[in-house]
Amino acid sequence: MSLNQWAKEIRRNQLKKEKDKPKDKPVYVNKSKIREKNELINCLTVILRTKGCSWARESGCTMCGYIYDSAKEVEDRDIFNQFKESIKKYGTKKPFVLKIFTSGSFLDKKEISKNLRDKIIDYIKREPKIRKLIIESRPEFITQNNLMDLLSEINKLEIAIGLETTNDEIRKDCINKNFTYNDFLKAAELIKDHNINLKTYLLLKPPFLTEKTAIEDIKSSIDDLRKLNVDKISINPCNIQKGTIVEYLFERDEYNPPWIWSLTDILKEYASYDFTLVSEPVAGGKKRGIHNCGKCDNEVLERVKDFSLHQDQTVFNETECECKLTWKNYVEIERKLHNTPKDFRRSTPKNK
Amino acid sequence: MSYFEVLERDGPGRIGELKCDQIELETPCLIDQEAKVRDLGSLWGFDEREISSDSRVDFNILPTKSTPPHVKEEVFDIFLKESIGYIDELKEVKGFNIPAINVNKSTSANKRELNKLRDFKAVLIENVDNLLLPQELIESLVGLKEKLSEDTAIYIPGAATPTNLAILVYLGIDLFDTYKAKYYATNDRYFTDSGSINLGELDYLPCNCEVCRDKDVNQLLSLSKRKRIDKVYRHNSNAIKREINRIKESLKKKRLRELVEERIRPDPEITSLLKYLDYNKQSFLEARTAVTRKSNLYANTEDSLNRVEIKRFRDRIVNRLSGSESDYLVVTPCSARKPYSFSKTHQIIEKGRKGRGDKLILTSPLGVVPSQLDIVYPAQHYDIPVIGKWTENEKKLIEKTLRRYLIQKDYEKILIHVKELLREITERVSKELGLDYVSTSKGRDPRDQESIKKLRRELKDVQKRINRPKKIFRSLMEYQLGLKDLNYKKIQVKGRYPKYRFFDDENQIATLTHRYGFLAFTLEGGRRYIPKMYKVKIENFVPQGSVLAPGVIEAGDEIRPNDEVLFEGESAIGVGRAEMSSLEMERSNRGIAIKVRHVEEK
Ligand code: SF4
Ligand SMILES: [Zn+2]
Ligand SMILES: [Zn+2]
Repeated sequence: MSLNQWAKEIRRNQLKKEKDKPKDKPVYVNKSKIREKNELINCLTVILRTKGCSWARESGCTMCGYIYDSAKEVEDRDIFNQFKESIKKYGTKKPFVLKIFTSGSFLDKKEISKNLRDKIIDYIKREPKIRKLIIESRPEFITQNNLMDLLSEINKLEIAIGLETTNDEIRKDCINKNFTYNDFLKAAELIKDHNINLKTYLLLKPPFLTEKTAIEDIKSSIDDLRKLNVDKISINPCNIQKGTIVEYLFERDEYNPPWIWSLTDILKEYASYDFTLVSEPVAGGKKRGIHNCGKCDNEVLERVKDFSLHQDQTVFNETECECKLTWKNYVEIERKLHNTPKDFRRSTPKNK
Repeated sequence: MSYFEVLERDGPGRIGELKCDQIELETPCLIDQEAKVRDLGSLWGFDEREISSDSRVDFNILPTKSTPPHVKEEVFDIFLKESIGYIDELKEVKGFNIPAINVNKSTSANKRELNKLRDFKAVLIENVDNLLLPQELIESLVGLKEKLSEDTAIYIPGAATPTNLAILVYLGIDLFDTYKAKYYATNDRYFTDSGSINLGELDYLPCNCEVCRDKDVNQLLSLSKRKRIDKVYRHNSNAIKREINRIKESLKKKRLRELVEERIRPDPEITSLLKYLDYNKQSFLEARTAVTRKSNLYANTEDSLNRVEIKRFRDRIVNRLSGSESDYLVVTPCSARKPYSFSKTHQIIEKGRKGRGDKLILTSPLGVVPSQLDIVYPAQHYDIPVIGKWTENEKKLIEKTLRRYLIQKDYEKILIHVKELLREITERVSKELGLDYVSTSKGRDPRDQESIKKLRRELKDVQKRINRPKKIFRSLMEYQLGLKDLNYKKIQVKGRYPKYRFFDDENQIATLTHRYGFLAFTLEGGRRYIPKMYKVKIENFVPQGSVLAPGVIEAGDEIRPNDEVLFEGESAIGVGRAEMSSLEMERSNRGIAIKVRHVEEK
């Protein structure tokens, strides 16, 4: 059984347990601010409930449980309603950036049919406050035709790809992503050719890697991407999502989520290059997400947020905590232990 | 030149010497403290060019794709294969290389890839600390041990604590480190004899090492994190260093098992490791446990009931010992003084028995001891905590062994000369087996005048007295060598018990070593009597002093350390004492296999 089949088996078991999701409700709608060309601007994020990522339906990535947000019976009509209602309810008076995600690929016709996509694009075109559209897609759906379709209607577009790492071996062995760096490069070229912004997600600490290897992997991935002229790199610290291989390991004490210090270490090192470097951790500070000792988590995560908005590395200057030393030793010693050490981060001694 | 050689053994546990060009380590030891170890890291993102030829490195840990043990087996196997496959590509890396192998709950002993590891003098086993269930840990470790050569040092990184070291060494692990001590210190976990505790929960420092002496908990807590880690790490390391020395000391004194039983107590997880090992891996232990040993056997705990030496004794008296010498069997109590025949109680009982009828002693944890074997190891070498009462397990064990014993023999009458509880047991068993029996000390102490009289009366028709010296010889030949139907009529015995010498047509064939109660053979005796399962076929040479393992071609299956063996090659024949078990003789390339007593050129 390959990693591929194992992922499939875990997925199938979890899907049996899942209840049906409401077809008329999007998975997630939220307003925030993001950084666009040196200015902060409002942002509306809508995650549409579709039939789910095609790759996840077949097998899926080791850390991704988004498939459980999908609805089996959902139809174009339902999805369009989710979209329209979200914009109506949350759309601001001021100009804003619209992120439309699907827990999969916006350009995958199995999720968003051509017809539905046209309708959504048409709607966006007639909404002048929308400054820019951001979508996500796996590289195989980033084709000449698909891009032309979008561009004929929308002038400001950004496409995000979950590359996770530039290392093919890690992407295959640890993430089960089912595409290669080369596939990404081709898609990236197309995107750049069409003057579309390219955002790349990197995954911090996929399963099986030590904290140290994980940090090194992100760093060498950023080094590779710098040469490509990407516009934005977003680091996603791995978190524990249900029904995934990562969760299976986590429950057996065989996976520890990354440290926030690892993230700040990377952000600091790459702060002053000509791409935007951001990170918006999911479940930050929680046991099932990136975390530190529990005392400094909120504070340090606040700085990460600051950094993502302002790209100013001095925000990290005063972040210190006793647990930074713990992290340093952890990074140094983990491989030597040749096992998954107990995650002690939530237990610090009390002074009597 | 590099090698690993086992110098001393106590069960699967061993003291060894690991040698590579620059360095020589006595194992078990903490490899990170005594040598420079470089870990080449993960194969994910591995860059071969980074392997510089750092001359100051003693050991290289080869890179792997390590996955945790509960990863789906097939997935796990793919990465294991890749990691082992990579070893070939790293042949060029200079120095002493230690390949790392990953174990999971089912790393079976028959993986072909593992054969590639046979040439390495040391092998690292990953993930051991993540194997929580005893069957996972024991099965995978024992499986690997059985697959690897006996002269491969086994390194378990990131696991050593004062509590688990003893059992790990007992399992045959040789190399450890202080990385877990450091990781725990980093997290303010302080090693204690029963595990570890968060520094903040400690009221007193239960240690007198150079760090803890004259300090209290608050002094440690108020140090800066950096200093605190440093101090606690030093304490933790001291604790495992101390434990390593204790282990080596008991190994040398052949008391490792006693130490293990002592250490596991505070930790239920480790206790269950020993239980699992005793119940399910008896053959692994038996194949490596000496037939005799220097020290007394302290059967202090219920776990002792399952010790190899004790089980082996029970099995041999049931299976190896042949029929009865007399139609009568006198069942007697045990005594604190050993051998039993020297005790006051038995001298009193002899007034009634007068050498008539076979005599059997009921005891725990051995179950039953035929009186002619009361000096054989471990019958005269054990001690148990006596509280004047038998535990349920002990009662069951005595009853079970007595039944097994009596089924194999053919007595006509059982004279039950023991106290109440044991009397009931013996009566029950006799009745069950349809044997005629009489209780000669019912309601009285077996030493009581009346009891003795009754015993004498019951035996009045028995004319024949047992020839004890000859009976000892016969039983030992059976017990020690597994010989059956031996004609011993012409054997002569000289000397005073227990310093017997045995002759066969004027030729001395053996002496009784009174310390262990085993026979030591002359060349003539060995040639005549030692059977195939205790014979060793050696290469064409005349050994002086000892036979080394590489000189062994084939060794009889039953050979265990301290057994008497006959060795023979094209140009020599001789007798001696085995230093290793047959398995090790055949699978080792180093070390003394046999200490020669007599040798003759052919
Ligand atoms: S990470 Fe992306 S590609 Fe992978 S399963 Fe999830 S949605 Fe699909
Ligand atoms: Zn902290
Ligand atoms: Zn101390």
